[in-house]
Amino acid sequence: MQLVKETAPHIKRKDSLMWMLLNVIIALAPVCIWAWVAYPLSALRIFPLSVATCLLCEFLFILITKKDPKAFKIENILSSIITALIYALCLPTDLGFASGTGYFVVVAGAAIGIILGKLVFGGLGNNIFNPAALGMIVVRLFWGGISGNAAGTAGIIDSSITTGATALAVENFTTVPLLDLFIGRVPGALGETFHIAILIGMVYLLITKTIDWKVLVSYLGTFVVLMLIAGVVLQAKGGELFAHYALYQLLSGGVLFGAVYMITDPVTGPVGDPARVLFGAFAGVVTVAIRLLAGTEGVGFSILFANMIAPVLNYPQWSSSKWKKWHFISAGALAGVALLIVILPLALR
Amino acid sequence: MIAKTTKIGGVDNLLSKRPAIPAPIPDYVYIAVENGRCPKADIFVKEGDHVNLCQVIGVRHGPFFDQPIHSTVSGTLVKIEKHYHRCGKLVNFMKIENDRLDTLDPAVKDRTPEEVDALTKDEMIKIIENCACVGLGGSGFPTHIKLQTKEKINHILINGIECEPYLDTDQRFMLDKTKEIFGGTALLMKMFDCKDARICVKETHPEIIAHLNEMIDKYYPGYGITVSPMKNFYPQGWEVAMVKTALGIKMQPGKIPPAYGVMNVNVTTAATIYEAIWHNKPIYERYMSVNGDGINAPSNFIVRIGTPAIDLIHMAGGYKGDENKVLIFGGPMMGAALPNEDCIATKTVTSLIVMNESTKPEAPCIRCGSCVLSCPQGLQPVLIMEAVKSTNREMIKMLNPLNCMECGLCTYSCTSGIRVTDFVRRAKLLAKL
Repeated sequence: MQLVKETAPHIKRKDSLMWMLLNVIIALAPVCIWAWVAYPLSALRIFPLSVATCLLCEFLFILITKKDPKAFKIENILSSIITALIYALCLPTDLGFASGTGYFVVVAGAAIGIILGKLVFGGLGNNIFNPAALGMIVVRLFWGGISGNAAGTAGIIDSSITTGATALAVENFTTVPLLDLFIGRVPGALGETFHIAILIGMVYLLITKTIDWKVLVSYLGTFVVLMLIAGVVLQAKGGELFAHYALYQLLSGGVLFGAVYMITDPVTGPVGDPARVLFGAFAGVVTVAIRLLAGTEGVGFSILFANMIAPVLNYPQWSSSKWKKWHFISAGALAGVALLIVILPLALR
Repeated sequence: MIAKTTKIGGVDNLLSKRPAIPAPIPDYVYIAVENGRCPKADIFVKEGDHVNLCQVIGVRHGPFFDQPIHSTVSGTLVKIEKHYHRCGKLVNFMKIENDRLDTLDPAVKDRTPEEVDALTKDEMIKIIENCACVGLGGSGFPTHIKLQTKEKINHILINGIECEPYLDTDQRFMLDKTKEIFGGTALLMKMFDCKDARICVKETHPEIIAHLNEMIDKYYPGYGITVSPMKNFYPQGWEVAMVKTALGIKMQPGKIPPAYGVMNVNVTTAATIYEAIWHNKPIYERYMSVNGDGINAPSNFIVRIGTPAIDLIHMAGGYKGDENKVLIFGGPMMGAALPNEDCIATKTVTSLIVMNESTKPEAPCIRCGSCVLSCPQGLQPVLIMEAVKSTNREMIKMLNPLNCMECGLCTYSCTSGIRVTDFVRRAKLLAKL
C-alpha cells in the first residue's frame, strides 16, 4: 500500500469509455444479425474484411505514432470495430464479388475511411469526420457503378430501385408498401433497411445513455417536419397524401440508420445542448436538400457536412452550454434557408 | 455515458445515525504558526513555557487581518517544527506537550445575559475577531471580515448541507449542538437586525429536520428561525446553489451573497460565534468525520485541534485493504490529497477521508459532453481543456474559466476518466496572466 498524491476530485463516476463503446457494438448487434440472416453471403464477405482492415489500420497507426504495441488498447480495438461495422452495414449487398473487385472495394473503402476520416487527425477522439460515413461516401463516389443492381448509377447507398427513388426522380414510388419498407423487405444497403433492428438498437443506446437524444431528436424532427411540408406542397400539386410521403421518406434509404448510429457519434459532433440541437437540425436540412434537389440519397453527405460545422458551433467565442440569442437566430436562419432553397423550388416546379 | 451528474452515487452515509466519539487527546498537539492565508506570524511564548487551554500564544498576520493563535491543550511548548499543513505547504507548527489537565485560560469567562444584551455589533465583531472565528466549513475565511459587510442583510442562511459524499460531520453536529447553533444564529440576527434565519438541511435527513423544528418550538418560538429542506444533489452546499434553493435568488457569477442581502455561515461557525460571545471561548475541538472506502471503522469523532492525521486513522481502525490510498482533509470532491500521514488537523478540517485510489483508466476524450452537462456554472470544461492543450490564451479567456469554483464534477463525470478539473485550474492561471 502506498499513499497517492493526486489532485481533487478523488472519486470518479462508475462508467467508462470501454463500456460506452461496447454499448454501441451491442446496439449494432441486432442490425448485424439481421443483415447476416438476410444476406448471408454478402455479410460473410463484407464484415470480416472491413473489421480486419480497420483493426489493421488502427494497429499500424498506433505502432507508427506511439512506437509501442502496448498502446493499442481495448478502446482502440472497440472503436475501430464500431467504424468497421457501421461502414459494412452501409455498403450495398452486391458489390460484384464474382469478379473479385468487390473484395478490393470493401478493403479500399474501409482503409480510406478510417485513415482519412480518423487516423490522420490523430486517432480516437480527435477525428473531425465520421470515418464510416467517409468510407461509404468514397465507395459511392469512386465505385458507384460497380453494384449489380439496376439503379447502380444512382449511387451505391441507394442502389436499389426503391431507395434510388427516394425523392422526386420517380413519381410513382408508392408502389412499395410502407410495411415492406419498415421491416426491410426491399433491396438496399446491407443494414440500413432493417428498421425494427435499428429501433431496438436505438432504444438500447438511449437507455444506456450512450448517445445524446438531443442530436437524434433534432435530426429526425427536422427531417420529418421538412418532409411533411414538402409532402403538403406535393399533395397540393396532385401527389400522394403528405403523411404517407413523409413516412416513405423516413423509412427509405439510411435516414434512421444514420440518425441512430452515425450522426450521434459524440466525437464528430459538438458539445453543449444548443450546439447539439443546431448540429442535428443542420444535418436534417442538408439531408432533405440533397434528397429533394438532387433526387438522391443524402444521409452520408449530410453527416459529413454537419461534421464540418461542429467545430464552428463550438468556437469558444460564441459556444455556450445555455441557450443564447444567437442560437435562436441561427435556428431561425436555418429554417428560413431550408424553406427558401428546398421547399420553394418544389412549389414552383 | 452522456449524462448530467447530480448525485455522487454509491455512498451510503450513516455516520450521523451514531453518536460522535470523543477522540483521545494526543500527548502532543501541533498548532500551525502560519497557514495558507497568513504567511507571517509572531509567537508570544518560547520553548519550555507553560501554556493554558485557549491561551493566546501568537498572532498570524494575513493580507488584511490579524488572527490570534490559541492553544488547544494546556501543557508545555516543546519546540517549533515543520509539518505539512492541509494547504499542502510545509509550515512551522508549535509542538505542545499535553499535561492532561486542560487548565482553562483566565481569559475564558462567561458573559451574563445582560452583558450580551448590551453588546453592540462592533463589540461582538471584536470578540469574534479575538476568538479567531473563521469559516469552519473548510474555507477558513475570517468571520469578522465577513460580518463587517456594509450591505443590508435580510436573510441569514446557516449552512448544514454537506453535499459532498462521505461527509457527515455537520449532520451529527446539528443533532448534538442544536442550542449552540441556534444561539449563534440568534446573535447573528441581532447583529444584523434581521428577522429571517434559515437552517439549511438536506431533505434526506428528516430526523434532523424534525429535531431542529422541535428545538425551535421549545427554545426559540416566534424568533424567525426556520428550517429549510434542501435538495439532495451535488453541489447543493455551494453558496450559489444554496441561496437559489432556499430563497429563489439567482446569484450572478463573481458576486457574493451579501450583495443580495444574504449572510451565509456554516453550522459549526454559528456555534463558535455563540461560544465566543457567551463564553469568550475560541474553538479548541471540533467534529470530524473519519470516513471513506479505505478505512476500517468510519466514525464521527470529536477531535482536539492539532491532532495528526495518523492518530485519526488509528482511531478509526486503520487502513482497509492493500490498495493504494488517498488521504484527504475535506471532501473527496474538493479536498486536496495530503502528502503524507504527518499532516495536522487544523480547525478548518471537517473530515479525514481515506479513499482507495480510483482504478478508472485515463482514455482519450470522445467529447461526450458530460462535463458540459454537469458543470453547475454552465462552463464548457472540454473546450477549456482543448484550449489549454493548445495554450491558446485568447480562447481560454473567452471560455470564462475564472467562474469555476472547482467542484470537481467535470472530472467526476468524465467518461474517459480524464482529470478535466486540472486543465480548468491551469486555465484559471493562464487567464489571470
